[in-house]
Amino acid sequence: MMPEFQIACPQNLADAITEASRLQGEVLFVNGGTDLILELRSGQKKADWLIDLSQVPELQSLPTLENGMLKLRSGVTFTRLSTDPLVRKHARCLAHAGEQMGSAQIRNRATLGGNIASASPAGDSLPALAALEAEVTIEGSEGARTLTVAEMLAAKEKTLKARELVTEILIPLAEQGIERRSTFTKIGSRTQVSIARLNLAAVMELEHGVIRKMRLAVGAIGKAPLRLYEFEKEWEGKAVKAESAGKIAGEIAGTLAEFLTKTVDQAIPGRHSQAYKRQAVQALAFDVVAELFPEQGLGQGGGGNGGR
Amino acid sequence: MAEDKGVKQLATPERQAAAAEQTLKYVGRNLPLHDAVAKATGKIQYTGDMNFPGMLQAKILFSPLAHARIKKIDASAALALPGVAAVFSHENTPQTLYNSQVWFAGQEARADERLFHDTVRFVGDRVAAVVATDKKIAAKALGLIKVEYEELPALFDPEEALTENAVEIHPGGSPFFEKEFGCGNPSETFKQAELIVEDRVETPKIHHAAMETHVCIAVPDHSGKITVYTPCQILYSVRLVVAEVLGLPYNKVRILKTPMGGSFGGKQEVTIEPLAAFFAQATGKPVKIEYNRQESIISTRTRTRTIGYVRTAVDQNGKILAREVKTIVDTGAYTSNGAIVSMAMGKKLFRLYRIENQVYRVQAVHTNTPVAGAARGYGSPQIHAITEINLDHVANRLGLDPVEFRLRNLVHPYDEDLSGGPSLGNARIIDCVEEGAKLFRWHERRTQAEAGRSTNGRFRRGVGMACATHSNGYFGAFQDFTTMTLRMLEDGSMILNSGIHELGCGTVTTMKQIIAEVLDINPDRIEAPEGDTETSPYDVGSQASRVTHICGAGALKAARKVKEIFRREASKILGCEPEDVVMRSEIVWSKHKPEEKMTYGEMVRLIQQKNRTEIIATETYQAADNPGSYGANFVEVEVDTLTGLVRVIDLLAVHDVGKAINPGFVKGQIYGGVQMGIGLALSEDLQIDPKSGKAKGDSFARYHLINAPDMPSVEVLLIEKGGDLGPFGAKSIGEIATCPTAPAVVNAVNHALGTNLTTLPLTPERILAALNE
Repeated sequence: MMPEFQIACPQNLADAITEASRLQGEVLFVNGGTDLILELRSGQKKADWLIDLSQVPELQSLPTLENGMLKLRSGVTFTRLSTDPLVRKHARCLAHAGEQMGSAQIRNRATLGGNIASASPAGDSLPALAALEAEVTIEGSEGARTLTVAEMLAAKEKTLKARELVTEILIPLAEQGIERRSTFTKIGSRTQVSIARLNLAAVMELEHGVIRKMRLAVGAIGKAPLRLYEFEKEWEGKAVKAESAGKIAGEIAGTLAEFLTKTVDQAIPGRHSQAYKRQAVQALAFDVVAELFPEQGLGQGGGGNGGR
Repeated sequence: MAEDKGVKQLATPERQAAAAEQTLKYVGRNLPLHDAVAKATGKIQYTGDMNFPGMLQAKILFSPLAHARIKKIDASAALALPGVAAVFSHENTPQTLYNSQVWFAGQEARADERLFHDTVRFVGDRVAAVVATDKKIAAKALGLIKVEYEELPALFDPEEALTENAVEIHPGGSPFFEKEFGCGNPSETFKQAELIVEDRVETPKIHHAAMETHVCIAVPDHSGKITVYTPCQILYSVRLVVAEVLGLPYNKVRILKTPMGGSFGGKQEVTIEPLAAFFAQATGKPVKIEYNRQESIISTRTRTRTIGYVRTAVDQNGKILAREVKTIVDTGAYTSNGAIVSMAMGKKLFRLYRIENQVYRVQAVHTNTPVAGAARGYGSPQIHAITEINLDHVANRLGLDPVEFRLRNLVHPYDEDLSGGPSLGNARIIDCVEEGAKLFRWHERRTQAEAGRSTNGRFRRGVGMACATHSNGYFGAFQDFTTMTLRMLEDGSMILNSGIHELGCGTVTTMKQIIAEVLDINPDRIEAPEGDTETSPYDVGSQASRVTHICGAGALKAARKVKEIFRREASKILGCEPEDVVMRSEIVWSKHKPEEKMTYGEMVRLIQQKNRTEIIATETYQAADNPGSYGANFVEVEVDTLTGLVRVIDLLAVHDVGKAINPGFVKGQIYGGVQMGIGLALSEDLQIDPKSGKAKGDSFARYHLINAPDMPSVEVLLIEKGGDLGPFGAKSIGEIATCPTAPAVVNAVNHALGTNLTTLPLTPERILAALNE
């Protein structure tokens, strides 16, 4: 049952922030509303005022490249993430997360800003943003501040204070002459329209056949996605020569699978789902590495979850 | 079909069917559902869309506890809320005990349900209700009701219900129903058997997941009559229970079947109608009850959770010598159809394979879990899961191909039911299996899957199949008949008055096609309104897979009678013998004067004017057979051995339907049945928490149906060989469609992995656990 609330429809960002500080009672921002509306209906969240961000042009404009960054506005939908040429080129793992989140209907409405703000442990955008070392701009009546996703995930408390909203997401581009490959994959209880039981994003940057950067983040085994720092370090600086790429890819997949199992064991010891997740997470390792080394044909036919 | 003159041909059912095939004009054609356009364009009025002047809305307060005595209910704050008309609980409602599944007056059934009890027996049991001017106020008022409970020990495990000192949910405890029946001498045969293969198979509680949740409206009138608008399956069952609870004569309760947004058995039993009817009676206002998804999942009906122990004895040639099947049927907190579904399950055991020595034992139990009831297949999906998974296990132990093993044991056309049930009729399961195996390339695919396995890769393929049988009505168990009135109007259009219920399967159009065939009239010129207990003749309802076979035969009989009357009366007008009256494409003439033609409507007018009568017939058709409908599914799956996720790649469903009146409808039933069957095999489960009794799968976020991306391509092959008493030889499809699917999928997974998984659904966790064993 939808409770009663009032709604404000600011026409620009400044008004949205002013309205937020001016209004009395419990004030919440809404954009796609795919989570919030359900939470309001069920009584999990209460609001006296909703501030509708869907009419704020600053939050809706398309992704752009600025100063070596891919700049996304918080109102970008998951459908847009999955199809936008700039996102697909520079932040492919985020595009993959966009493809695999929810249903087509949800993807058409749900926004990246909302996914960051609700910070669900099983959220699909956060591992991708973590692997991309993204920064998030948060604004409120006291001004704007920028946090790295790593900082956000490490924070004990909720990073968004009352009446603050996510406005921008900045993703550093790969440096000149460096090839970035990235991907995202998840395991749900079915192929589509499924909340992640596990998800994994990976970014790998290569320069003249050497791994310059390896960034991975695994989700749904704790409150927030975990970066795999130790594993990343192990592989940075390793050469991936064409003739030995298959062997290296196989090694990466094998060690990553083991590493992920260990990560699950440490993250959710004794949890009912541990027995399943410690094994299933290995599938993510093989799927992700197969995507990072597409020329090796490591996919085993039929594809994992979704058969992409 | 050309017949050699002079050579006497036997009029076999196949031959009759084949001959009829060539001349059929409307039967066998894919006409659309009569209300498809209205549904697709949003013009149809579902019950949820209906409103009446002054209508109130009721919301129910459901128990958060699995078992508790209600010590005190304080509704004062709720009653003080403006807009609240009344609050109801066990303190101010009839304490009449009833059973939600009785469908005819005088039917014996354990009555243990009340509108509201002073004891709650599962999470989701009814505690109280608020009736208010709108839903929001009613919901707000629910939150103001204070209930004090005294918690009682609760019981969730059906096998625990059978232990000594188990929690007693109803007086006498469990089992509340026990039965044993069979044939031959299984115990002696087991002693001599060369191979005995045993399994324990478990099927879960599942939700029907109709798009439309449970909803009804009750409207009182000045005379004390209550009219209930409900998307139900059995009008006369609703009338019976409502009249009983309200203490009204049957003719003061009127039930109208409204457009159905899906049921699958979920709306077969009488759940919310007596509540709405009583609230309407008490407040003097129309009252609507509309459940949300969570309420429909936990507080209406589910499929029974069933645990089966099966032992099968075979000889070295793969002949089944004897079988013993024991089931424990968990009906949840109230009896509902627990006893009847327990029996229905057992009867199927004697109608699929030639097993001369067989015994079935059942114990039905109560648990503090959501109430089970009718669910598409009425026990068939459960019992076929139990036995068909076991049969693959047997075949495996014998080293025999599962198709070959089954072919050595399947029933033949016109076999008898060895447990004493009705004859199996033209049972064409062998055709289903033989033709299906050919079309599916069974042996080739099986071999390929086995060859691929040796590489020990991450993804493994498996190929499996299963067979099933289901009924065609109640003949042999309960009275089964239907009465229909068919009229031809002065413009030649027609009205069929009957107690039919359109559940979305195409019943209305099917009746029209049958009548159209007999009278050679465009089906669009026939109205076949759904049932209304005040104006429709009696019908047993849309249950037991009886509608096409029995009601269809009723429509055929009524149409033939109308044709006879029409020709008799027309012959007087045309001055000829009745058999000389030709009726073709709504034009009538005497074969002696083909130049004098008139429309059916013109003739009806003349009959009124000159013969002073009308063209009307009321006919009762009494079921006289109950052949088996048969089906086989062939499935290929791919299992991800790392994630335990199963992808059903391809499925062939072969069904012996006698004759498809409307092949499009038949295929539609099969596609949907397959979707439900895969869900039962792989993902659907209410997941009752063993500590709290709360259903984890109480929303679609956690209760996963197979959706479009996970549906395989489904191919359908129909075996149409007629031979029984249904109209044009038609047999049922609605329930059998889902029966072979789950075991076929499970057998394919077990083939892929070399496992013997027997607890449904085969969740990724269960699959990985089995692989790690």
